Amino acid sequence: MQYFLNGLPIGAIYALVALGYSLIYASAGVLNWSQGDMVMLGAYIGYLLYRLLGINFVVSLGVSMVAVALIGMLVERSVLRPLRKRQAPAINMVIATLGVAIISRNIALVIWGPDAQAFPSPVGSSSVQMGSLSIIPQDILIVSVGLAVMLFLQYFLGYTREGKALRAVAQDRAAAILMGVDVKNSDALAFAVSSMMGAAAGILIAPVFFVTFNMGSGIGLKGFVAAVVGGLGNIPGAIAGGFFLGLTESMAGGKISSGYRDVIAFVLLILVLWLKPSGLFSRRIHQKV
Amino acid sequence: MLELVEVVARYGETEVLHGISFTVPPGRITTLIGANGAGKTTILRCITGLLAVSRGKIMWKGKDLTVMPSKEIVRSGVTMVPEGRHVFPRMTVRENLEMGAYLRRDKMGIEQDFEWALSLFPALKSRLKQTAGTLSGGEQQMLAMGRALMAAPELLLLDEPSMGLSPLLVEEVFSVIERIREMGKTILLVEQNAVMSLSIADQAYVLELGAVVLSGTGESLLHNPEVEAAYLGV
Repeated sequence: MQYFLNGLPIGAIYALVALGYSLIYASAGVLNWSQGDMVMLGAYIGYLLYRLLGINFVVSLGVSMVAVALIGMLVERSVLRPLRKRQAPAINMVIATLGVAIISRNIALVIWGPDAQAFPSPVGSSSVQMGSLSIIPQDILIVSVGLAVMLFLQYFLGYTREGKALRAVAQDRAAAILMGVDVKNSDALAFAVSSMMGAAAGILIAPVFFVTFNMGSGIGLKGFVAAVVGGLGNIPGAIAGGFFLGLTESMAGGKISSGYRDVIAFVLLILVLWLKPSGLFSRRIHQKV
Repeated sequence: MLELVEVVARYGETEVLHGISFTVPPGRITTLIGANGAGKTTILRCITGLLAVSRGKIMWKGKDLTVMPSKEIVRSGVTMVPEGRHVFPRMTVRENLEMGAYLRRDKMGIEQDFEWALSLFPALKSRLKQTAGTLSGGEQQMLAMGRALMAAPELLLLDEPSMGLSPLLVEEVFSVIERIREMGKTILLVEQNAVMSLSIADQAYVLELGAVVLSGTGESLLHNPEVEAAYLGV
């Protein structure tokens, strides 16, 4: 039970990052390797606002999410749009996003230096005992803010005009163009929303892991594993995949050895790719012709 | 009126339309018939801006569509029902219809067209909450047409609406096309089913390898010996 509780917050973080991968993959058709570095930028901007400038945590969270959303849009506009215009193959776009990741990492290194920065938890660090279980307040914060962001995403995709257009683009890009959807805008929007979720993940995880310039690579990879486990491009699958990976890691880490946590994640990735490449949570779509 | 003037289009290095010219008169059904690879679908893709035109003009209401982005083309009143329906499979029937009106802001008009689309395709009425991917082929064709009508087009482009449908459903789809004409819409219909399309068309063009080789009223082409031999299988 304790391992289950420990797995939930990290699962929420993986889910947020996985959602970013899947949303961009589904709608813009690109695998965005800079997703993890949007987490890092979110954490640093949050650190700057909350720790250095002493701004209220909620405000810091909001500002950081908006700022990273703008960075995401900038990435789409300055890197992917020109490539798309030249009809570059998909692999070039993937490599370009890898370039964005390396550049972001180095900018962070130049600005904030190589040392890990401590990010004190806004809700304190003393754990609460509930019977035999101990709960860390930060974990509750991670899970509740994480779920709130996911609910917001569901609302956005299900009930807003632009969110529905994004789903339409993801399901049939050509048909969406025929409805008058401007796919350049929807691609930018997908990057903005994905980056925003990454930023939220970054600030939430910062008190647990410290803030470092290369924190994006690890979280980015785990988020990617979660996205693939849930079925790349599948939005509910990304959430399920995130929690599944978080819980599996925590359970197996506790039962076997925490040193094997990463091994477990990547064994899971290989198993999924081998046995069920469409993801563990893929829904079969019946399409009669 | 829609007018194509010397339109040249290519896929990569391959030229598929070699300077095509024809007109689509308002309020009528115009059909393009021809074998696979004649360039019928390519013409529709050029009109809607999905494919860039290398040379020539496509004039609609005094504007050249070849220099406009797809969004502006839809806004100017041109909507296409693509070949193979292309409904949004994981959206509900209602959401699909609403997507058709994506660029519109006139709530009243959207509501009216929604009711009109359901009256043209009553089969959709009971399936509004179902996802489009679960519909039958015929229902998907109706949904794709209803969705296009939700954009309140003046010119409706139909690409192979009969494809994969049973004869009974084909009859139904074509009778709806005639009803859409009665509403004063202009229709450009691309079809392999030449008999059906010529029998409802006011104006028809026969395409061969990216060029217009014959034209006339639907009635006259239906009884033209060359057309009969090549396309009607008589």
